[in-house]
Amino acid sequence: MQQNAKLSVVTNYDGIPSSVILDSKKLQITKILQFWRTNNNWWQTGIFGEQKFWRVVAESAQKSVVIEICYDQNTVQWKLIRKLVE
Amino acid sequence: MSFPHLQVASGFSFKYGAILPEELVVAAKNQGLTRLALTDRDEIGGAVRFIKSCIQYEISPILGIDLAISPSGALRKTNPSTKLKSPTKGGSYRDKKHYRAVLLARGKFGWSALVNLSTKIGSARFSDPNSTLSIFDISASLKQLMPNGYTSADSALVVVLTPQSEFAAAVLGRRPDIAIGIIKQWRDTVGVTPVIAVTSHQSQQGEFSTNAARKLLKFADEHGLKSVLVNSVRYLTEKDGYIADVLDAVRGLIPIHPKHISQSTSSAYLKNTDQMAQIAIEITQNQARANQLLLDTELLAASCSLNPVTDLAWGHIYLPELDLLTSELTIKNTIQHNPGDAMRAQALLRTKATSALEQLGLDRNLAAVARLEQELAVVASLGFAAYFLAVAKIVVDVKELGSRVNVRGSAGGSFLVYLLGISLINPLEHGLLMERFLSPNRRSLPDIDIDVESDRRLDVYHSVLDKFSSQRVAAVAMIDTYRVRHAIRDVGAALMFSPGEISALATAFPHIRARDVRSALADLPELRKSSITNLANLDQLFDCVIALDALPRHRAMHPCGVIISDASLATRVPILPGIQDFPVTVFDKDDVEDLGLIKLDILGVRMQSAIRHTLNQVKQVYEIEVEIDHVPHNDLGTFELIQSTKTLGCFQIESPGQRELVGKLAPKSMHDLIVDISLFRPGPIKSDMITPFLAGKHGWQQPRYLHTDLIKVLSETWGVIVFHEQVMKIFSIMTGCSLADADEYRRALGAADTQFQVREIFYRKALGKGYELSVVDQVWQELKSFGSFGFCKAHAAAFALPTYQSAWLKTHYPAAFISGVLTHDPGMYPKRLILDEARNLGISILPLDVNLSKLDYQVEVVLNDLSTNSKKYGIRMALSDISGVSELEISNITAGQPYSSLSDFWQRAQVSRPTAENLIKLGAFNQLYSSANSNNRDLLLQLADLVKLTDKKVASGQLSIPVNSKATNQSTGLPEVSKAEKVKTELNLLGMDVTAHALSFYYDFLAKLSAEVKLVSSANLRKQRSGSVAYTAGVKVAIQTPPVRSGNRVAFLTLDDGSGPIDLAFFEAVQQDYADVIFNSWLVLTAGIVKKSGPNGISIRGLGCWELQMLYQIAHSEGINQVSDYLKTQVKQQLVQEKMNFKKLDTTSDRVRRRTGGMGPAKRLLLHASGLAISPYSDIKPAGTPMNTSIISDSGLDFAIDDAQLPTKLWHKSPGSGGR
Repeated sequence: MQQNAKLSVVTNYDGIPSSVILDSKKLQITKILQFWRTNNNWWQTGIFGEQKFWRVVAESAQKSVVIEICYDQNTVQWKLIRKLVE
Repeated sequence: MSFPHLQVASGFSFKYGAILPEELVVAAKNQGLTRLALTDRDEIGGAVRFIKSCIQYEISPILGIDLAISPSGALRKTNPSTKLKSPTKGGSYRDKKHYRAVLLARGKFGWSALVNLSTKIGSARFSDPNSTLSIFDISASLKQLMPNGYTSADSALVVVLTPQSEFAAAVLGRRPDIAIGIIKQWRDTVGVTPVIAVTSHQSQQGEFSTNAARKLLKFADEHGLKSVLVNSVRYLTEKDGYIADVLDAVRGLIPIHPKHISQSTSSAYLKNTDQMAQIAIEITQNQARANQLLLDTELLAASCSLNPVTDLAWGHIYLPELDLLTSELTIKNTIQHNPGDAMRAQALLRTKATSALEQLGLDRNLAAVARLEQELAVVASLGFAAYFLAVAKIVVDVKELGSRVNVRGSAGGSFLVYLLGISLINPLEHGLLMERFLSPNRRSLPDIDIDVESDRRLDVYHSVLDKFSSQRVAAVAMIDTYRVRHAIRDVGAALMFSPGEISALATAFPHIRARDVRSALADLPELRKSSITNLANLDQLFDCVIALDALPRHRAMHPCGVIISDASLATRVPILPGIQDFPVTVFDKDDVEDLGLIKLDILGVRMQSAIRHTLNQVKQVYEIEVEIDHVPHNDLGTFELIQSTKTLGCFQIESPGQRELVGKLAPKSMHDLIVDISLFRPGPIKSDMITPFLAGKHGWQQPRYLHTDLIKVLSETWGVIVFHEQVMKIFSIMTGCSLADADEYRRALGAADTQFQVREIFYRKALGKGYELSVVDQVWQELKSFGSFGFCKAHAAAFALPTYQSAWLKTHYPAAFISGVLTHDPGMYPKRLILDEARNLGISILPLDVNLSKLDYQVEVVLNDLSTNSKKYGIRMALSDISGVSELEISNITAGQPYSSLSDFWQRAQVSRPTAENLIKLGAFNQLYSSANSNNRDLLLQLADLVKLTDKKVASGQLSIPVNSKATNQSTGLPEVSKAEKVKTELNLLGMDVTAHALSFYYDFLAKLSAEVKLVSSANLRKQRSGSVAYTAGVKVAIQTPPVRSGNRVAFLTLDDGSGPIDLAFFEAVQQDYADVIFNSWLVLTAGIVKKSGPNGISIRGLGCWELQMLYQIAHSEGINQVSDYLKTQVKQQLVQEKMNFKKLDTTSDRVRRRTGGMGPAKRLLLHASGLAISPYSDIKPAGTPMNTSIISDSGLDFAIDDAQLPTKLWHKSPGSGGR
């Protein structure tokens, strides 16, 4: 599935993603369409933390995608939620 | 520019906000904010402490209310809570989600509007917790407040429509027409054009998403509405988001679940200016618009900033109108102050005082006249004459009601208070100082506390209310904050622990602060041994429990504080209905003082009721009218009783510690009693004032005076500083300051941050007056260690009066006095111990009798020997102590007395079946059926028949049933209940063992045991050699853990063996093995070392404590020798262990732990400014499991007493402890 796609994210100083490496291809984030956050279910996981979500337009010379990516404070990891437009 | 938060909820939005107002202000200051609003949900209870903090941290305060607004009905989904689930704990939903609007106050009228609205919604919620206010209600409030200037309502209130408003719901629901209608309704009805607040918590969807904020902003811009940025703050930092989740669940009585919590992010925190600027950009996507949004927010905040002095009349004092105090009319609601009232009040005060002076024959006493003039001058300079007149009037009214009344506290030091009849103590006779109560230097308002009879307290309240009207009088509120037990209960339910687990966990902990939950688990051996530690998810539960610490959870009516003001009270404080509709403010006692409201504490004192009952009984039975307030204070018999330590039931001197102290001190005068009461306080005990005092008093040691100038001050207490008044006099003598200044220095001694300033002044001035440095050093050390702990002599003198009066009554009319004590239960001990005391005094305890028992305990003459002219008295048990009986039933029973039979009783008394059954079980018909052959079981069967018969007659329309005119023999052959069953019934239904002592069932066992070990009764304790080991057995009547000087937790246990009380002290080293039994068992056997001190002082240092039932069973199965061997071995081991602990201070950690009662080598201590340390577990009930209250029957079988059914507690526990 798309969620299993390999993802690396480069952020600016504010922690906002500026580029992603998706399936070994580097894409520049040209537009943030939406940003939101959500709490994880701390009462189930036992750890309190947030997940931050970005819906972004990521482009290279050959390719343009709209993806949702997520940063999890607990696992300190980025993950791809879904590809919306490819 | 700093960002001003305009929507901020504190903990005073009960179970919504997760931060205290003062913490908010500190955080705002640290962030560099200059303005901050407090907008609690549907109330303004946190406003005063918020303003106070804002003044301290120089932040401009803004006050508002986040008000639940009734839906207009235009939206199809008229109420956002329609789909909410039922609460898990049952009942109606406590927290419906309402549409809301934030109303910010502008100026004085704005504050009054908030007060009015808070009163309105609070009053409405008294009957319906989900009440809301309509826009019309708000309009009506404004019209009421500003009848002339209503057209400019926006000069008083700013209406901010937040994302939780109906307006926002309309915009986000794509109903712009409704949104416009709502704006128009506000404009037309209230006269205010609302401001639109936008917020983004960066949620993916919903009203707190960025998209929603953009839509609202766009709508506002398109319709020319002003908009501002808010953050709907409810906690301090991003990390605190989980507390809000817990509170959401707690408020709704539902478990935490994504469906139930109101936030999906943790953004509702106090964001700093940069973070809010980023949010503004995110919403507007335009730097210029973002800047404009931030600027508009700042401008609105500036226009709403309040001036506490001009807008809230901060520090202004409002006294009742003089006309009300001089007029015979009782209620006047529109009285205004007249010019010259203050001078007239002062003149009236002078007239009343001088008149009293003449009546007392003191008008030629120069000292008295000078003192009066001095006090009148102080009152005049402060303008408090009307307050004194008001309190005097209240006291007159209380006396007219027939209630006893006395002053307590520092007000007893005022001669004026004495002359006005408020106090019964003449301060000139006892060297009491006015300055301890009132002086021009005092920053706080005068506070007169009066004691009235406890059962007349509400009558007194209503009398005050009748006199001054609800426009001027209200009770003070008391804010109940989260402590460990409530926090565990609420969090446990939210985290879905089972009810059984929650109950076990909550009751396992002592009544400590929620934040100390982990420390208690680590410190207390009885907790570590408990099974609660095996529960899963404890860490998460404790994290949440700690987070709730000190947050307000409930508001109640203060038990004694009443504020008295003028007719403008309701415009300055919200007033809600309280008990019996008595008005209650939302502010607590500290808040009202900051608002300039003068408080009168009316305390219901049970001893005053007990004295009243005693006097009535004396009049009724002995036909003597005793004027207890005028008996001489030098009665030899009274002081002999006190010295004998047989003071159970007497005011202030019945506790184990006090009995030991009066035994050592041997009071011979009122002054000795005043000293005794002052010494028996945590401070004097902790700082060991008692030892040097006793040494001086009994001549064991020469009194030590640090300077000859101080002899006149300290000679009354043998060189020891006992009273606050002495500290004040020392300051005055050595520094030359006034007594008013001296009192300020005394107060400053108690706090570490001000103590050093006093030190500097004391050294500079005392050295300047020529005192040697060595003297100044020594006096300062004494002041520092003793001064902050001393006791107010005026307070002690006020207490000494009922102490003496109660002892006088016990000496001369013991039966009447014990009946008063049993009726009103004024002391610390359970009634069963007082019954024992009566028996030991030769007074018969007369059983319940349907024909003779009344509501309360009555004295009866049981033997009248005309030949010797002597009478013997008994006390008849009262109906009111029967579990479950109602006042109406008692009234019916007593009105119908006498009864000729059970059926007569059933027909006419009209009591419930359980009450009739209980009366039979308790033997209340035994006298009536004494000549018949019926026993209680027969009567219970008869009652069952009567009940059936009644049901049939009622069903067939017949109203009467045949009545047996005589109590006849209707024996069914059933055996009578056993003695043990009787006692069990008595304990379950009365909380007392009336027919036999609970220990009596073990007498055979104890007799056998006494052949093996030295078993001593209370009566024989005094005959024991000091230092010898003694075993005692008894029923627990009290357990206390007061603060002691060593900083250890010492458990003071009092047992009753039928011959009197036995007092034991268990130190920490013993608690390691015995804490569970000490704290949780009822019938115990103890071992300890006898210690004698002073003429009558005796105590036992406990070495072991065992459940009597357990020992009995061992004896039963393995023989009495096994028990004695076991006890001896345990005691021997304990003694060996003690020796080891004394010898090896550098022992292994295990031994250190044993020495500290398992509390660990790094035991926590609370440090006082004087350097003294106390245990954090002092004066709290330690953890424990339910008590073992089983007794054995005649046949050796167990009878477990039903703990949950007990009508009264079987033993007293320390203050701060609760539950069983």
